Amino acid sequence: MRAILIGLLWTTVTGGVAGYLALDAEGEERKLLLPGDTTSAHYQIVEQCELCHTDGGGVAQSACAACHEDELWRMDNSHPMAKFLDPRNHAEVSILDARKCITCHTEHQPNATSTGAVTQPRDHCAACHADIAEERPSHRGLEFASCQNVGCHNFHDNRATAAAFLRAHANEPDLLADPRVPERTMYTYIASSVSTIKTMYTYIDRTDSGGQTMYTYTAEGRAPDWQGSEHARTQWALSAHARGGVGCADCHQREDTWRKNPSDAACRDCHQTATDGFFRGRHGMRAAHDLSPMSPADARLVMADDAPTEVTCTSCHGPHETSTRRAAVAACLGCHADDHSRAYLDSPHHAAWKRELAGLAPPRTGVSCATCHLPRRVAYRDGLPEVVVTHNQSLTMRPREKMIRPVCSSCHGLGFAIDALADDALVDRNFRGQPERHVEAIDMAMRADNE
Amino acid sequence: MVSARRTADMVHAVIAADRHAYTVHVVNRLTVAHRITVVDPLSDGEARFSASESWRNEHASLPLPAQMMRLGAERVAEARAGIHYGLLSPWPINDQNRPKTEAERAALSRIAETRAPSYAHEALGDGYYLTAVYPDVAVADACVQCHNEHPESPRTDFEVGDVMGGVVIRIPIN
Repeated sequence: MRAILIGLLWTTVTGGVAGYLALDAEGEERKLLLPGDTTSAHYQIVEQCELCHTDGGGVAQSACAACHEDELWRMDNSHPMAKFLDPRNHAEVSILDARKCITCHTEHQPNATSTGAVTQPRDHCAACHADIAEERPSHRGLEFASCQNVGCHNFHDNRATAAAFLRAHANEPDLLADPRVPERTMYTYIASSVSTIKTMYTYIDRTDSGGQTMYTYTAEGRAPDWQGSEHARTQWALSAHARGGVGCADCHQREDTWRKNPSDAACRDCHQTATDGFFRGRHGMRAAHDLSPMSPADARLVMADDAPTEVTCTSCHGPHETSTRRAAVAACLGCHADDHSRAYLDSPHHAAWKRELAGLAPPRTGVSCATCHLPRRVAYRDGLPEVVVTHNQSLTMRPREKMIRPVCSSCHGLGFAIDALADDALVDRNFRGQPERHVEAIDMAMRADNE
Repeated sequence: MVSARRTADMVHAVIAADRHAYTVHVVNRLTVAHRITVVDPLSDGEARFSASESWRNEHASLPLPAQMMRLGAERVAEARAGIHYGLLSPWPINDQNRPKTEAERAALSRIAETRAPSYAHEALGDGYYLTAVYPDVAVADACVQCHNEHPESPRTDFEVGDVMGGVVIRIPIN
């Protein structure tokens, strides 16, 4: 008994001191006080303990919700917290308390963490669904550890694997009849939001003379002594910004201060949906929490040796070029150097992208990195539906089946998409070849229909 | 002091009224009476408003009345208001909505015959509850058609006027 009391006292005192030191320390010092390595999602913001931890060292559920609630809502979360607050489910809750995210996503436990930052055993579905074989004879003989294999089930996101959806898309061909992504309609909402343009230069005319292209500008607005380089002005003159009447001061001038290097906040003035998405993903989550921008050098994925030093809006889009072609491929491959990324240039997706750029294939049939990882989706602004580019690439990254409905289904049949994403080697080859394994999700849904 | 039973009756009146108002004045108005269409950004055409099970992932789509009720129930649960309510049936489209406790099973069986509310006391976890179950009657063709044709539905011969399940309301008691 005495030993237990001493143990408790020691744990309380050392835990309290460690917690105090962790909250009192700053920046890099805090990393030294971590109880264990942080997951690949949260390690970027690990200096800011307060984002997740309360003063007492616990984790508030509201901290998880602050960043993830919207995402869970969009994916029609199959296991919402409310389900576990219902007293009729008390027996299941006593086994797996899913009223709190940290029950399954405990941080600082690298040795117990699997894909999706999950710290429960692979067969944790059995806690509530032990009798699934009785409810669904098609599931007889399956191991609980296989429930969440690619193409089967996911604890939160089952948009592409719900039985009704599987059956509705059961007989689709590998490549759909009209494989293309929807057209962006973002310009209309941007135009509606630009009401306070502070244009310094207005692009008036372009003339070609003796092999040289000349631009005529008229200067307006503030900071008239700042001229910028001819190169910058020329890039700008060719851009959608110039066409839309967005001039130098609109980005470079913030609250009467001229900034040579505008921050992401300047982009957000007009591109709110895109910037907010960027801040929610792993590219922008540090900046979103007032930390220095993410640096590829700090990434846990394989990065190119000569990758840029930081990731901001202009890292991909370029400070003055507003064509999105570079941002769609070259910018990605400028940093990402893992097998899947390096294999892209030899992939059928890249071949389709080149055909589109060469005018040999219809618009929106090419497949860039961004086509899949920054998919287009319908968003609403001021009551208007818009097709916008999702800038939170983490939304559809892992587990892979999160891509099926919002990404793959624009071009591919459901069965092919499920099989392709379940084939690790095929993913590494960036889909050069055919799937070599078959997931029986659709077959099981069709059999269940006949049971 | 209002009794737990009376409280449950009052809560049920609110739930039933809201559900009816949503069905008639929102869903029917938009999808049937006025047949509202909106721009569909994915097809460059128009999309007609509809109520659909997968409304979250469909443009111009509204939650089904039963889903609307569940959305409210989830909000009440998350607000830690103390009471819990839901929609259960011996023939649910989602197995999670099948009766689970003995009180639920007995009440659903009883109300199918009596077509009147059923009340019982239950101990669940650390709490004690008055569990009130109210018959949920198919009031429109849309109810029976959807359930009879849904591939996940275990029963396909519902008729208007049938008791399809029950609204379960739990009031915490000492």
